Amino acid sequence: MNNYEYNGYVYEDMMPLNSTLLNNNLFSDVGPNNITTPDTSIPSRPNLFAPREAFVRGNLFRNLYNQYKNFQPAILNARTEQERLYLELSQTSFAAHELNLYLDNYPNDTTMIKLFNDYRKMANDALKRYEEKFGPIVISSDALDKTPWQWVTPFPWDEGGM
Amino acid sequence: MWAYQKRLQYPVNIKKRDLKMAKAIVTQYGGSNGELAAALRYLNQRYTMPDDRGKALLTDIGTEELTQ
Repeated sequence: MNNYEYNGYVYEDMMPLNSTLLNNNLFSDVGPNNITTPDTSIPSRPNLFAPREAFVRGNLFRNLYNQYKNFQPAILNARTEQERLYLELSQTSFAAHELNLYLDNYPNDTTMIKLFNDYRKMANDALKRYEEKFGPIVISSDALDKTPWQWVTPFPWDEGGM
Repeated sequence: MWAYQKRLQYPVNIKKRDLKMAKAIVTQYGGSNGELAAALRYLNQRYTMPDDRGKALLTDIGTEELTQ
């Protein structure tokens, strides 16, 4: 790490990497010391929402979710196979993304890195299964090997919302 | 570098047209504190962020603001 001059102060003195300011208690109850569940596949964690709940709340971390008045998050029900796969993809990739943002600040949290990789694999798998059946979502998709070119399809936000 | 996915972060299905509502919502996109302004702020702040973790976080959050 370099020393950074910032407004005449040495940045590292202002905010050393392991200062209490950075390792504040915002995420205190999700640290590796507080995980008590056994490490089998994806254990349920008391301090994290399951991907399904996290997705409709826009938040994976229970202690960071504040309910607005008596607002209850939507319950999303898939009506078709396509919607079911799409939801699975959305929920798992959202969970992985939340952990991505968390790990940017807590890069040494091995438990969370493992959980991130579990969700990442689930999301990649859901993406692959969705694209095989319902067309490409990313430009690197295997589903782009057909004629006509499968990328020129309606945009999801123009019809149906997927 | 820039890449996009052909999907929404959260499913939205608009069932009827409502211009007044559209006018309110578009300020959330392009208004002074909208997603667009936030995305540009994060993605520009990242260049002067001295801390590696902050840099990573600003880049990731700025990207996410663009998806919204």
